[in-house]
Amino acid sequence: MTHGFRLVLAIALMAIATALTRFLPFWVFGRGRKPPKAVEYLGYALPPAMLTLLVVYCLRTMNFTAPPFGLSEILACGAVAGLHLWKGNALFSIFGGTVVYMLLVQFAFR
Amino acid sequence: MRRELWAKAFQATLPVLFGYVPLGMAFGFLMSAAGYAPYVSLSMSAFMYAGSAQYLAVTMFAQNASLLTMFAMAFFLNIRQMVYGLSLLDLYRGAGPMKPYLIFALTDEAYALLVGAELPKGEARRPYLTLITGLCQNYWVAGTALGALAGAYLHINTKGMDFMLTALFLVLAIDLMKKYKTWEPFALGAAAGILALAVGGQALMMPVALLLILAALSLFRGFFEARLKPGEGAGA
Repeated sequence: MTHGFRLVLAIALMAIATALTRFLPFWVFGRGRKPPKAVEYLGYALPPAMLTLLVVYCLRTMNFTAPPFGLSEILACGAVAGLHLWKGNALFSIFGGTVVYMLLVQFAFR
Repeated sequence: MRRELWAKAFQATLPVLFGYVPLGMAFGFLMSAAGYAPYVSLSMSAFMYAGSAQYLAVTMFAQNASLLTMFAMAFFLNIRQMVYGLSLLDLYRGAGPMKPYLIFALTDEAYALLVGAELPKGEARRPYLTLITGLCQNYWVAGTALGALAGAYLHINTKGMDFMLTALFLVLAIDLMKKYKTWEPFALGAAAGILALAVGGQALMMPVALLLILAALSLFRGFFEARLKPGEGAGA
């Protein structure tokens, strides 16, 4: 667990990184200059890859070799996708899927 | 006039209120459940103010990821916001002394409100931009405070609650997939993640995956550009 001075540093660095993404276009392209094509390209090509990478990152501790063989994650992800394709309400899908997962790991596959 | 402007801004930001308070609460709650004092989650909501990066931070803190990984992840996760800035250059020109704050607090939702809604004309516009942007961040911080306090005082079994992060990214990916009408860049992210996990293990997964994605996007730029029609998908 990150704590102490390292935690302060981590938060500061992430705050700077976030602020950079927001301020850079205004600093670099503020005076009517057109952004390079490469920046525009990464701006729309990166988000899809980042999001699926993050899904995999979140599931990195999944264990297929011991019961329940990752079934809780698979079922809960299915619930999230199902709810989202059905209702299209982000909050409903997120909280619904999380409740399914919590029920599975707390009661079904203890 | 002033009161009218507040009412108008509050009304415009209502959907964000209903989105930010529960998600902010969940973030604060997760941080408290992970053992962090409320002021830690509150300062993250005040100074980072980036929903998905903050959620990701909960996991990266638990794993005690390297500082460079945390910096790079926050940067690349929010890089889509560069595109927002590019399209707001004109609107923010002459935004006055609040301009730095307007840029600092430019989230997906604030952006959507600023480009999607009708803005007042004339001298009411400046304060209106500030009101919209500021109200949104206040909802996020208030939600975080509620969640952090609830997490510190309520003792319920939170096992499995961190799945919320997975669900959040999954929902964002589905929404984006609907908008992009393509699957290749999504497959790239998942494939890079699995490969990096196999090669670098849990500790090195993220930096390796980021390098793989950036390399693939640069090497096969022609291919991805043909699949992604710029303009249509820009702005997640």
